[in-house]
Amino acid sequence: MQHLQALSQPIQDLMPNILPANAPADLWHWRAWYRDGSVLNEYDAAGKHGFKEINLQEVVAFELVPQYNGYAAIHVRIDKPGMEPVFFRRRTIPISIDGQQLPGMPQMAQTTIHILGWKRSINGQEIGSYTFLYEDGSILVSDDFQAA
Amino acid sequence: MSAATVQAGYWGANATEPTGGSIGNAETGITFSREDSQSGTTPIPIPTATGTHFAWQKNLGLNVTVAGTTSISNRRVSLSANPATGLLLWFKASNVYTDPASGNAPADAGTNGATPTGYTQITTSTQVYDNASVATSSTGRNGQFCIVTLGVDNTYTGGAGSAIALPNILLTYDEQ
Repeated sequence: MQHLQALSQPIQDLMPNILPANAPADLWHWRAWYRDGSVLNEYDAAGKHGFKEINLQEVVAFELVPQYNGYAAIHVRIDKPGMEPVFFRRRTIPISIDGQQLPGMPQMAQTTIHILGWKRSINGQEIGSYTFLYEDGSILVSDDFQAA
Repeated sequence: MSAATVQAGYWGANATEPTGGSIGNAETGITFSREDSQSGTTPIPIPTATGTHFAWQKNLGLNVTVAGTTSISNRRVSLSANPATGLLLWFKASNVYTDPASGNAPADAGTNGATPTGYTQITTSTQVYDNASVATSSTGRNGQFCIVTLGVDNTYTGGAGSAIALPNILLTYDEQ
């Protein structure tokens, strides 16, 4: 998989970050690497692509490309039969119930955890590994998809 | 097409399911009360003897305000912290809109911490209310309602109105 060496940048040490107000809405965009060396970017000249547009059978690597300095590029290799990449943005919306949020007040911020991983079925049982990327730069790795 | 814009929605104050611009923005806050409105102030009386009084339901959910190419699944609900003693929050999922009204509210109970029929307690751990994958290609409600209510029982001593801090309800979902 020679083309994997062309991934956008080396993995950097993650540093704790304080998210600035002008940070992009999604800190990472995805990039799917195919067996023939071609890529599908989440955003390209055609606009935004959905994850369902990816030909998962031909993917050999799946990468999250950071959109803000200080965040690392992260990728997962899909190099075993039956492996599939897993990617989600897990978004949380807070709703105030204390009656103190008056009209015109700024709304509380939504948060997004990017989830990158792989899954595979062995003897009918699905296994996987999921890396949860938080906005402050911290990371959780778990085999539980609902861990965060 | 651009990414979807999703808002926490409030559906109420109407005999039939509100659509479009009639859907409330729950992110501006909701108030549990005995009133068919997002932020009504008709109070829930604190029981003077052992028992639980419930607020009229709030129909929450995810509202796609700008369509996209993604899909949403794994819709979950939780609390940011535990509420004060004597207060419990509850949820149930439904695809059917019911106008919040006296006759549709959970019945008062004669025990403290009572569970309203059909509801599950909301805790600080996330719980799935709808796991179906639904495309964001259409605006409006995405997935089921997350119908929530608040129970006040006889052990509550925090006082009425804004006398005590309350946690936030958190709606969590996966977008792909």
